[in-house]
Amino acid sequence: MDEGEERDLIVRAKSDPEAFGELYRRYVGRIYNYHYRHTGNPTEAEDLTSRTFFRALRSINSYRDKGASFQAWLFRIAHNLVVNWYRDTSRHPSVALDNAPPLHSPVQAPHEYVEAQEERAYWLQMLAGLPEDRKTLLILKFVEQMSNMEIAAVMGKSEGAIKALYHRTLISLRDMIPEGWPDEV
Amino acid sequence: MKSRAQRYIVLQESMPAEEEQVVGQVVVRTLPPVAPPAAFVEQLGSDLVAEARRHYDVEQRRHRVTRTVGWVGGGVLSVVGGVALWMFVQRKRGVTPGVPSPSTAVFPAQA
Repeated sequence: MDEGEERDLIVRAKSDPEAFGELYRRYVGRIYNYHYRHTGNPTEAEDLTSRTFFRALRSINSYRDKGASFQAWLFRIAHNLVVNWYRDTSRHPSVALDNAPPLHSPVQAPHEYVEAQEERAYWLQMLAGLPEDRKTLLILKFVEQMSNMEIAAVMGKSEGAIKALYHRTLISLRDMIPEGWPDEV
Repeated sequence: MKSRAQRYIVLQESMPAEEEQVVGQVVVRTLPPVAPPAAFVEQLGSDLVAEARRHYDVEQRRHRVTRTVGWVGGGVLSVVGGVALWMFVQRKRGVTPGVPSPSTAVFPAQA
């Protein structure tokens, strides 16, 4: 679906329930993934996902297509809920490995699979230990492939602040990467 | 010792593009997309559409009520404003509303 079609869909979604349902189907996977990556818990991710969409439904009339894209607007709602979740629960999030999809291909040898799992567990631990804003930045940048401008809109910061945060985050992650990665971990 | 002018403050350490790419690979490999359960997507979808129907009905009703109140209120205000304006104009002319003005009063002829 191109931008023009999506714009039409958003306009229709302000008064047509089916159009809102279509928007929901377009974004539910990404919003769920975003919440899951923060909470590490499928039940919490489902709860936050439904709250995101119900909140979006209540305020879709206030959405204006000026500057920030619809996905940035929707992710901003999701982000605000995640921030509240961190504040309310004061928990240290971690990703539930048991629920993560297997990384090995059918042709992967067992020892390679074990190595890949160990490597992933190491990085999950590293990423889970990052502050919320850095984790959000990494998810939006690398998983959601958003531009700095969109990330700034989602996180409610200036583009310059996002660039600085991105840089600091990369430096700190680079220092965690063992030498020779990704060949040997 | 360097003079004051020769001292530099390093604001940001530069990072080569290849290293940035490696960090990106780490993140993408570590956080592959996780799809929500199909039953959850289906259930939430139908709940949302039902809620959207209710929401839009309420919105439409509110708009109708607002419009009706606006029309009625506007009509009443127009009448009140018109009367007030008429009274104001009459007062300016020195005429007391409801009492025939002296110029138009009919006096009985003297016998």
